[in-house]
Amino acid sequence: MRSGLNIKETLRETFPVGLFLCCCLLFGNAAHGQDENPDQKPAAKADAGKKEEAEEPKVVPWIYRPYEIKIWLMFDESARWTTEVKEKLEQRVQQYLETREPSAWRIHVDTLRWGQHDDLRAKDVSVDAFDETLYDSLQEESIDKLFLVRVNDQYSHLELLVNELDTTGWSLGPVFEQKILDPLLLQHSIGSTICDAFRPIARIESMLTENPILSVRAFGLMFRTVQEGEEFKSVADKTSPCWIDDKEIFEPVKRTANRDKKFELSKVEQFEFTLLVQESKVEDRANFECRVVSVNRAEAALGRRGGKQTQRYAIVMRTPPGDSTIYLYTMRGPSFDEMEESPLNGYEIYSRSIYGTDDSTEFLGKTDWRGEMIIPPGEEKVRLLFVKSGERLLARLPIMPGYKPYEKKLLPDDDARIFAEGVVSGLRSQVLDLVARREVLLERMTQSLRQGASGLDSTLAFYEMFDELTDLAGFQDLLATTERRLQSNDSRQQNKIDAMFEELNTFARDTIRPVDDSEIDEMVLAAKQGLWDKVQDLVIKRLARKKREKDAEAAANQEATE
Amino acid sequence: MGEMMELVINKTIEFVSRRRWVSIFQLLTLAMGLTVVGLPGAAIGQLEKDPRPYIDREPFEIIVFATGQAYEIEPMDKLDHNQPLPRRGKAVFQLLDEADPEFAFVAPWNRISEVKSYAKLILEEAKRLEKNEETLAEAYRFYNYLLYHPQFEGNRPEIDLFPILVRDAVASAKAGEWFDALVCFEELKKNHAGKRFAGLGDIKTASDGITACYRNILKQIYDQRAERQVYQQLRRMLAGGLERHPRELQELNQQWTETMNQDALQYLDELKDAVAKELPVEAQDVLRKMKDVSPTLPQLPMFEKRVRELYPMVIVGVDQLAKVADPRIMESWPARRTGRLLRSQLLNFIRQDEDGGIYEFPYGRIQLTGEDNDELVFMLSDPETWGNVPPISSIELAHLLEATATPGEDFYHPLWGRILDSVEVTDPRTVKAKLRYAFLLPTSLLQVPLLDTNDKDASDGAYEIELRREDGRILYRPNSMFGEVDMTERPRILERRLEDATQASELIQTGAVDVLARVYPGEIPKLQRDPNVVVRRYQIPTVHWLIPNLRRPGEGEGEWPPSAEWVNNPLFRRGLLYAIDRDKLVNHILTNEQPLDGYEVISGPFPVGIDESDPLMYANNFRVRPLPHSQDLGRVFIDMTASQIKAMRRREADRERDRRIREGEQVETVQADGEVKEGEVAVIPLPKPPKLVLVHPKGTQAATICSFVVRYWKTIGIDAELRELPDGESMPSDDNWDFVFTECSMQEPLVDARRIFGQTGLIRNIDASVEQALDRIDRVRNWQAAGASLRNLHEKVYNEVTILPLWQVPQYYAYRPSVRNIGYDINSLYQNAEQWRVDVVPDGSTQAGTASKTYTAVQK
Repeated sequence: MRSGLNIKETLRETFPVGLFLCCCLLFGNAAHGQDENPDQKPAAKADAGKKEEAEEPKVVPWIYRPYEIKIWLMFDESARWTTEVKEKLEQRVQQYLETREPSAWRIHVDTLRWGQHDDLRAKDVSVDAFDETLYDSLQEESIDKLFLVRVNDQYSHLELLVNELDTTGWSLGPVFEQKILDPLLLQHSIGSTICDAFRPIARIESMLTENPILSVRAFGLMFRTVQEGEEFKSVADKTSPCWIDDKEIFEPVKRTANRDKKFELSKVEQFEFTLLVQESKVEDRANFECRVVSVNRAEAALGRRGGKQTQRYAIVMRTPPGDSTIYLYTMRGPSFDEMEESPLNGYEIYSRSIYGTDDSTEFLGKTDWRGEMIIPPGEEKVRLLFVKSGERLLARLPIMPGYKPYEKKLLPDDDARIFAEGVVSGLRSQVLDLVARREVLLERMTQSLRQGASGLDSTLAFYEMFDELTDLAGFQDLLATTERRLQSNDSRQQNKIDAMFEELNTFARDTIRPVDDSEIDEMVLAAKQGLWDKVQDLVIKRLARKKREKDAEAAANQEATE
Repeated sequence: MGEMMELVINKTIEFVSRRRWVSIFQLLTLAMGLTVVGLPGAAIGQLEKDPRPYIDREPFEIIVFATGQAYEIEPMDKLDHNQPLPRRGKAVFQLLDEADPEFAFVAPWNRISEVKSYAKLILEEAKRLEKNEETLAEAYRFYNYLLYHPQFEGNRPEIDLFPILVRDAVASAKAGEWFDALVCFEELKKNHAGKRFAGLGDIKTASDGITACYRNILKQIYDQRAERQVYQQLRRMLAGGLERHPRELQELNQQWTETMNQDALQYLDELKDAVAKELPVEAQDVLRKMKDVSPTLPQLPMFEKRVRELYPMVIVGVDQLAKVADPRIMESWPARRTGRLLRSQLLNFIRQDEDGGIYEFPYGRIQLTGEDNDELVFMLSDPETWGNVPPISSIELAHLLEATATPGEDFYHPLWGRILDSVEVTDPRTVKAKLRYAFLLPTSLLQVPLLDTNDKDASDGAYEIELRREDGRILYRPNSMFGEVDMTERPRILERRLEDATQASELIQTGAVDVLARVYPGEIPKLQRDPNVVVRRYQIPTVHWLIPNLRRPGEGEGEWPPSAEWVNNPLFRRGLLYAIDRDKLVNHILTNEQPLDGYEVISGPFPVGIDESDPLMYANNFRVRPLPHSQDLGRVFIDMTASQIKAMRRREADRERDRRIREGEQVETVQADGEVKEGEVAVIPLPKPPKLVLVHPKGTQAATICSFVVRYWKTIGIDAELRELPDGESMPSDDNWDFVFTECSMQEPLVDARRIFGQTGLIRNIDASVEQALDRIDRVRNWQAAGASLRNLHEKVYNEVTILPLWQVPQYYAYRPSVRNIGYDINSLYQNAEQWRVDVVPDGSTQAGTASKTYTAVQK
């Protein structure tokens, strides 16, 4: 098997030849289709396809490999759905889809009876409803996409619900819903909704560069030959549901084959809050670049590289407009074994553009007591959410509202830090208050001492007030006592708490200066002794020192700027 | 020249010898100066004269030298003006225009011809003024000063004022200035009773003059009777006159009483018309007009009785009419008041007790069950026992409980939403609410209206709106949804807006208003002294705050106003709080210097209670002391904020510069000195505080308080402008404001904390630590923990200055005794409105002298 890079190089060299081959295949297919008996069942066609594949020992290259698509039509118990109606619908849906995209996918339509996979009929069906057996059977049949098409007779109208399941990444797409007033339009609606719900897939070929390089599945099958004058030209069919054009968002998945080169559901991995953002447009080459936007660091976002058995894919994310609910929680409990989910209430959620086109941050709100918040769609398809608690940024979560109705994120327990932040905030306001009071009293004392003996009484009154204020040592004691009370079991939290206290301590040291105390003590003592000349000297010295400090601070600022 | 030179020389010598040592050089300079100044202005007529009349100046004397020169001097205390001047020795005196009070001047007595005393100067001036008719009143003022000012005690000159007063009275009367003439005649009657004079035709004595003056004055007032208050002025004038001159005005009083009665009776047809058309408010208005014209009209009690029998009505004076009626809006007094009248609630707050609020469930009883007290069982009693409340079934009750827990519903309470797990109707009369966890006081969360409050005129309470009048008054009638009401039994309620606090007090004292929903603190003692008015205190005091408009980055649309980064800064808010002298405002300005209990400065969001037994005080953290008033500290904090903002802007500018450099742009900046530097950011100046916008609800009290706040902020260099909200609104609907003055009634701090802070509260943008404190309050299970959590919240709010707490104000209501069953220890005026009754004869039988017919059906 050739690696992705080799394919890439080969493609560059052999692209024109490939195109030619592709055109031949297309024409061949079309001709074959015309020759076929129209009453022939799709399953029979699938069998025929399998036979052909079985005869081919070589795997069809990724860019020429059509999607194998299975469609399950599930009708409700209405009397409207006779066998004849169902069979006609099967045929017409197949015809519609094959007309819409003749070569990049192969369609197999089935109708599910009641009793077959009834648990998948629910509107809000989740991926957990699809069991491992189904996975294995779909793998066996080499099915890439399974569509659940539920048609319910609501008497006044028909309700159509379509979900797409990508079997490679075992990812269930959002439900696409249609209300059909005219039953004659049903087959058309089913077909078009399937096209809307279809999520093309790309293979991650390389992760060696800064941005991963991906290649489009069935790329080579989406070119059509058109006649321009006397010449025939091959042109990409950008209207194909399988086409990946520009500015798409991808959901990355990873799967690893076992020793028998078979894939198991347990080895399929999805990456939470990780998206790929298309950076380059797909034109005449199957490859394009993507940027990783993830809750994790970009290099760790798509997991370890893995061996040859590991494959990474990216599924295009398509959704009808809608909201998603995000649930933030942490694990709390008296011991490790007794940990329980605990919702995080009141965490702030901001949103920014994923493309960085707009620097402005939009405040979306706070999580409620359930730890939940509804994320509405924004101007762009994807929102980059910032989760903040207090002064700390806790997570960056890329999310496409509506794609998944409910997403949950485990965050570290921040309770101790928030509490500490509140306590530190209180201490900070205390120290600021203290500094302000000291400054005012020091200024008043200096002014009254400058008046000479007549200002002695007021100086002593101010001095008494000054003396009652906490000094640096007293405040540091308070800090130490408080810090001891705020011990956290989590070392990361503790580090943050320590850092907050250290910052506050530094601030206190810088602002509550013992030199002020000693200067004022000396001045007041001299004033009490009636040594006014000395007092005046000390006042002048103090004022000069203050000026020097101010100048030095300004100079330091200037220097820092330069 | 000679006199002055001698004076100067003498002065110099005396000065050196008697006062203090100065250098010869200084003395000479001084002497030269005086000589130069003194030479041209020696005579008094040439000196620059003080323009004020003598009696408006400080006492002084004039010294006259033999040469005719005269100087204004300080009074010579030792000189006896009744004796001739000494001929020997020297006079020591101080010139009035001498700047240094230490300087004294000396002159030989034999050169001085006269020292005119202050009394003599005034007398001379009075005599001069008396000569001119135009200045006669001024002359009289001078004489009066001499006659009555205590400084002339024992030294008063003999003055006969009779001719002057007569002349003045005659002149005033002839000029039609009857008030001036009255003053003269009253003075003549007081000091020269019976003494006859001529010059005014038939008026021969002071008494004649007084009668004539009153006759003319009353007529002048009556001629302006198009204004209703004229009759009040007439009565006041007559009453005042009768008190002083009963004999002179007896006949006049009878005449005028008759005139006023006749005028009042002119409204009789209007009254009959209103009664015939069954217009209760109009009938009351006509009665009010008749009463205004002549309150002593003999037929008036009969009319009043008839109207009250037909349309019993309570007129309630309110400071604001409600825009919406919702008893849950804690920051809007009118909305709460009217909400209680118009809306039924699932549970009603009765009073505050030691273990929190007491709530009444009118449909039966509520029991807290379950192993962990986590089930609330609502047991509906027989509907016949429910009284006048809208009927509810168990299914409807279950829906309501669910709706109260559903965000977006009008009934939604966030805390109930949090604690409610499920609702189950176990039988037709029982609804079980399963709680997620045991909350301390779940019933307090269910004071929810049964009707959607968005429909502002809908009513399912004791009363409904009968009429919104164009003049702003609102008439309520007993709610007809509970069956036919005997309208002669239960009174209608008419709310009338009274902006002026003093006017409101007068109206209740005169009976024009039956109830005052709130009494302005300064008026409380006055009304308490009035035996015809009952003043009572509401159980729950209000707390006043300034709520800052804390804007969050990325919230809302458009640019931030310049004040946003300042208002968002806790240091700035602390500085503003320091600047407000809250103690003075609450204990002096608000209470009008009256000593009243319970008016206290607060340091946090919660009330401190009226006394130590007040159960409300559990939420307040008494360890957190209110910040004292200090302009200096205020300024320091404002400066700190400016420095912080400057540093922040600097960091932003640095980041922007780095970004531009990274993107390959050439960064050049013109510095303050004009120099162009590459790769540097411009010098950021220290920012100046912006002009703030302080919003307040409509009302005199709020406007007065806020204008003081603006003045205090001005003292620390912060400009602010006031903006008044429309009537009935308590919070601005836009974002163009920085602070809003708010008054909150907090009856249950445990649950009201969520209504103040948090996403569904008044202050949405709160700090994480405040959010955490709230979260803890939501989960408390006992009162000890509740107190601790609320006190913790108080501390956090204080640290972050999330609000600017002002003070606690006990609220009072007043009513006339003719209104019964209002109740005491109430929390809202209309708490017992269903039991309100009025006496047919106002204020009991005391005025009418007959037994009053009282329709008191229910006594609680």
